[in-house]
Amino acid sequence: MDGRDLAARLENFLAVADTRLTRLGAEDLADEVLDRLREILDADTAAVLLHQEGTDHLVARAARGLEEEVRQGVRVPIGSGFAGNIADTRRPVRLDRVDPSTVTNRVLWEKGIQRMLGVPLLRGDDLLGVLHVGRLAPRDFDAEDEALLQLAAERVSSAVQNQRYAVESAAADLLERGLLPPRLPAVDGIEFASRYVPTENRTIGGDWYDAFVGPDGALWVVTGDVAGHGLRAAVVMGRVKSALRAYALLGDGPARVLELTDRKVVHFEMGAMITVVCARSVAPFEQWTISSAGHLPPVSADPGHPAEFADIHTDPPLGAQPGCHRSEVTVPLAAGGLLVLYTDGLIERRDEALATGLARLRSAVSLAHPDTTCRLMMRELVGSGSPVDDIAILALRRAGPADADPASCARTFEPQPHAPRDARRFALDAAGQLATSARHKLELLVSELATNAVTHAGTPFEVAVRRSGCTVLVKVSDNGDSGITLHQPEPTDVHGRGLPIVAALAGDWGVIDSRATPGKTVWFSLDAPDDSPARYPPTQGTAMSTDPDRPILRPEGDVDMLTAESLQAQGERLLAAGGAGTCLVVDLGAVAFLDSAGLNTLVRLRLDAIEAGGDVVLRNVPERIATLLQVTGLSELFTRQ
Amino acid sequence: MELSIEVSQEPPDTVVLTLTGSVDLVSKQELLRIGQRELANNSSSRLVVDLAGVAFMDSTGLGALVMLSNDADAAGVKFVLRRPSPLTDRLLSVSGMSEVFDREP
Repeated sequence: MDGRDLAARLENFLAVADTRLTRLGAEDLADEVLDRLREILDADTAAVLLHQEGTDHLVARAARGLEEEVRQGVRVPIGSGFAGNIADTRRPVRLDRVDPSTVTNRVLWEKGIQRMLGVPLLRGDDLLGVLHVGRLAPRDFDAEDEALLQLAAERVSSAVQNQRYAVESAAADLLERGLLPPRLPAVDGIEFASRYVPTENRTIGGDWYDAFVGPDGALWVVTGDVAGHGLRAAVVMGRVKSALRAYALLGDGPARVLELTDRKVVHFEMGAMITVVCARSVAPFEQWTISSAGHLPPVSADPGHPAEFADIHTDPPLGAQPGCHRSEVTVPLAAGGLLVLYTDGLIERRDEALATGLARLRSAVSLAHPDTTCRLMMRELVGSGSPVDDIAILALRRAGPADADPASCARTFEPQPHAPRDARRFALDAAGQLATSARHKLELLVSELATNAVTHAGTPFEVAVRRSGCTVLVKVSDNGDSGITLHQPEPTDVHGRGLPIVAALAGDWGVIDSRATPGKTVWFSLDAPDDSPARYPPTQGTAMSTDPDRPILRPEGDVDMLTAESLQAQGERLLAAGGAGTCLVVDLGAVAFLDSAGLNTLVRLRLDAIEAGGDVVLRNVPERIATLLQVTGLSELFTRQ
Repeated sequence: MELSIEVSQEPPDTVVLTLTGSVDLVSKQELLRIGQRELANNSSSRLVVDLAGVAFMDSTGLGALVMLSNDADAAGVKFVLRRPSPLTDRLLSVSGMSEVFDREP
């Protein structure tokens, strides 16, 4: 064969390969190339074997003259035999002897092939597979044949690469539709939003989010990230996600579920490393139990508090430390509060410290609707660029008490000086029968919010009041564009005390600021039983005494500066009624909050009791109060039941 | 309930504003007007605000007291609260202002 013939054949081949590349899929292209190679190289067989990702095998994918190789699904271990050695060394190999000593694949020598030539299919440093040709006649392949086969290999490589990319891209779509929950569960009192954003080239990653309700009614939310990319990471992700759901069925908490999932990962997903954060809560979703396996902490924002990272303990990632003990932490979520789980793609930038990204994330989380929050986070953290890593976000918001009341009684007021006064009267009427102290509180808080609406927003505003059992819910909505700032005023400041008062006296409160439209809503709730005496201040001590020598005092709610005095008075009354030697039992089981004023009351009651030859005994001490007693050194002072 | 403000003189050199009713957005201007008038025209060295008759006060009313107190300081007049009602007392403590104002014992 002279040089001109070769050049002509080469040109012929390249034309075929190039034009077909754009139109044919990898399978068709391989068949076409193999036909051409047989013709051009005067070969009897031609075959493509592809490296199976995540294994050390080559698998026959296309063949001419050796169709049984594909039909039988021949697998060749990398490193052994003809094709295995090409794959291992990534260098061409020419064989002038084909028998069991040189070729593993019996199909080849049973067929009577005498000479073989093979080259690796490479993409950069990655091995894609092997392309080889064979002759039945004992005529050697030469260097020019090898060069031609190399050229063909490049075309096949890029086609294979394109196909893998197309497959992964399709799989990424499939993942979004299939592996990620098609819709988030409908849960009363919780609003959800989520995002899954693949990278620009749509390489699949191992990020996921999940939300589901267990048979016990518990709500689980999860985000996680399988280290690595590609289908393998995605498939591991699918399995881990489903394992986690299965373990959640057992009814245990997040730490136990992650321990079991970890065990599964260590045993069945050798070498995989997965970070995941898992949170569980039950209605009304005011407490969330969270366990983290090496994952970034969720962000939570509460009405009246800026966004913060949840104060949780982070254990090692799944698969990182077999058998490790996992912890869980329970964190509160106020009504109207937001909890956001996410994967590190959201904040990690090559040119930026992690702390910077975390700080930007925190500032992007507001109390807006979860969907708005997701949008804002994407805008602030990713912008118009494409993420460098895939991103999964799951955001949820606890319904604010003022959200869910279509039946509330509402009235609109003009921004006049008299409006706060009118609003107070309206709210008192609308709330119905209330204990005196609750009336005073309601009057004051409505006055504060209405005054703010008149003086800051300067627009007509609506006051909505709803009585729901022992709670009064009030929301005040204006149409102004004034924001809300909460700070502690200086003693000589004339303004700025309204919201601190709301924050101090309301059972719960918050701001709903839609951003999309002007205006905002400030809401608060008051604990307001109409039975007398009031349960919320003045306290709170309900005396229950079955034994005159062992009276019981059972304060409820908050024992603080506002209520401590009344508790003290009731305690003193009980001690006096019991006479000398009375042992007063103070049951703290229903106390939601107790501060130093409350501690002071307990100490003083005890001193009074001891003076009269008796004692004060604490019963049902909640953990928080036990801690308070501990840190204030009062723990040893009190006898506990 | 409208705010009524009664001004009285107590020997030797105290002027007393006795408030009855609501101290809020509606009435703060009146309180400031009368208080500042007394600070400007009255030579007394003590300004006492009697709160026993206050049926309602919010932070706007409290702000008016702070403003009067600031003005009194500037004029070298001692500003004193008298007989805070339980309601105003609680407002003062919730706002962290209990210790800020001088009170009559």
